[in-house]
Amino acid sequence: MSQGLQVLILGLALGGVYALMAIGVSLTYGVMRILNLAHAAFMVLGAYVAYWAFRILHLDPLLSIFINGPLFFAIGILLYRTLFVPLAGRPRYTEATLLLSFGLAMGVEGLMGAWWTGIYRAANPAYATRSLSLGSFYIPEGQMYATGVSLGMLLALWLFLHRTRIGRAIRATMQNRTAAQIVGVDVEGISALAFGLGMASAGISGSLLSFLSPFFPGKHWQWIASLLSLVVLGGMGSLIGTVVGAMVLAVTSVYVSSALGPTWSPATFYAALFLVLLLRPQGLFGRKEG
Amino acid sequence: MVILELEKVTAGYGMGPDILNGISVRFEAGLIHCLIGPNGAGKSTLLRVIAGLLRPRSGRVLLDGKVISGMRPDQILALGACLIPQDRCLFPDMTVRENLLMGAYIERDRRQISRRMEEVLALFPEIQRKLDQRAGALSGGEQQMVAIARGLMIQPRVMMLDEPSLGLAPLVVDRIFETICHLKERGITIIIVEQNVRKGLAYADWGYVLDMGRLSFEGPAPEVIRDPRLQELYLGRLALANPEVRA
Repeated sequence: MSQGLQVLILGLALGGVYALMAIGVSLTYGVMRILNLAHAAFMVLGAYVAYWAFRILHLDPLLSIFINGPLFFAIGILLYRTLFVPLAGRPRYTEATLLLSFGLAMGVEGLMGAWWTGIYRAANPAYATRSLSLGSFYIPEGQMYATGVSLGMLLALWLFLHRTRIGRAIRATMQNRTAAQIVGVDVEGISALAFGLGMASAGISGSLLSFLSPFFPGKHWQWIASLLSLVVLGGMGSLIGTVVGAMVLAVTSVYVSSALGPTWSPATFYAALFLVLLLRPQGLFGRKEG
Repeated sequence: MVILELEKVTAGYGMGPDILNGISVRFEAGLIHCLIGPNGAGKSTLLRVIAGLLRPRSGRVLLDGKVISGMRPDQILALGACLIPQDRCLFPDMTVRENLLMGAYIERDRRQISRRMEEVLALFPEIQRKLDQRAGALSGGEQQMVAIARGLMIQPRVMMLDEPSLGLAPLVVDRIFETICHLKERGITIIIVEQNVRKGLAYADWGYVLDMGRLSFEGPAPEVIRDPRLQELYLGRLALANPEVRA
C-alpha cells in the first residue's frame, strides 16, 4: 500500500513535467494543425543551453528558464514567419508542415551533434542528487522543483488563455478558425504567437530536463515519441486532455517500471498509443474531425 | 443612398473556377435585402467577398464609397460590416458570454463592451439566462441568436446573414426574422441569403436573384416573388434534374 502510494507520488510529479513538455505540441497543433516533430529537439537544445549556462556561468538550471523562455519564444516566432508562413494556403498544409518539422528536428540534432558531440550530459546542481523525505515517503528534490516549475508554468498559461483578450483569441482560433477570422482575430498573428509559446515551453522544459535525466543530441526521438503518445491519449489539440494524458501515462509508466523493471517503462507509452488508436482514436478529450 | 456596392466582382476558391462572374450589385442603406438563387449561384461566396474572407480576383467592393476589397476581415469589421455565416460559427467550448466578448474582439474599451453586452442581451432575453453555458450545448435557435448577438457586439451598420433559417423549426425561424426586422428599425442594413425563398422575401424589402455567379434580376421583394422568371429558374432546374417533378 505504502509502496503503491510512493509510486503514485513519483508518477504524478513526473506527470507534471511531462504535461509542460507536451503542452506546446498540443497548443501548436490546436491553433494551426501543425504537428511539431521538432519540439523535443528544441527541448534538448534548451537542455544544452541550461547545461552550458550552469557549467560556464554557474547559473542554476532552474533560473535558466528565464533565458530559455524568451530565447525560444523568439526562435519560434522567427521560424514560424520564415519557414511555416510560406507554406500557408497550400493544399496538404498539415502534411507539408509535418515534413518541415521533421527536417527541423534532424537539422537541430545535427547541429547539436556537431557542436557538442554525442556524449551524455547532465547538469548536476546540488539538489539534483538529494531527496526529501516526507514521513515514510520520499521525493527527489530536483524532481520536486521541476514539477513545481511545470505546474506554475501550466497555471500561468491557463490564466493567460482564460483571463486575457489575446488568450481568449488563441482559444477561439483553436475552436473555430473561420469564426475567429469573422470576429476580426488576426489568425496569422495568433498562430505566430502560439508557435512562439509552444517553443518557449520547449525551452523551459529543456532547462528542467538538463538536470532531470542525462541527454545527448539524439535523445529527442525518444522524447517526442513519448510526448506524442500522451498528446494522442488526451486528444490532439485539447490542452486539458494533454495534462490528463501526461498524468495517466506518467503514473502508469512508473508503476510498470516498479513492477516489471525500468526497461518496460517506455513500452507503456507505445502500448497506450496503440490502444488509443484502436479503441478511441480521437483521444480522451478530443473531438472527431469532421 | 447606396451603402454597399459590388462592381464587376469575379471570385472563386483556390485554383477552382470562378463562382462569381463579374457581378455588380448595389444595396440601399436601411433596407432588408434578400439574395436568392439556386445552389451554386454564388450567394454565400458574395457574402464572403464582402466580409473580406475571400479576395475577389477582379472588381471592387465599396462600403460608403470607400474601396474595401483587399482589406483584412478585421478592417472591414471595424468599418461596420459583419457576417453571420451559415453554420453559425460559434466557439463551441466557450460560454455564451465568452462568445459575445469575442464578438467585440476588435473593441478595446471595456466599458463600451459591457454597455453593448447589456444592449444586445436586452434584445435576446432567451440567451441572458444561458450566459454561462457552453455555446455548443445550446439548441439551434439559441445558437443562431447568439451568432446574431455576437455580430451586434461591434454595432454594425451592415449585417449579412447566410441562411439564418437553416435547420430551425418554423416558430424559431419567425422569431429570428422578427429580430431581423427589429434590427432594420435600428437602422442596420440587412443582407440575407436564404434558401427558404418565400420566407426570406416575405420579410425583405428588396430581392435579388442570382444565377451562375451573376445577378439575374432584382426588384421589390413582393414583385420578385410573383415574377415568372423566378419559378422558371427554380422549377426549370428541378425539372431538368428530376423529371418526375414535371407533373
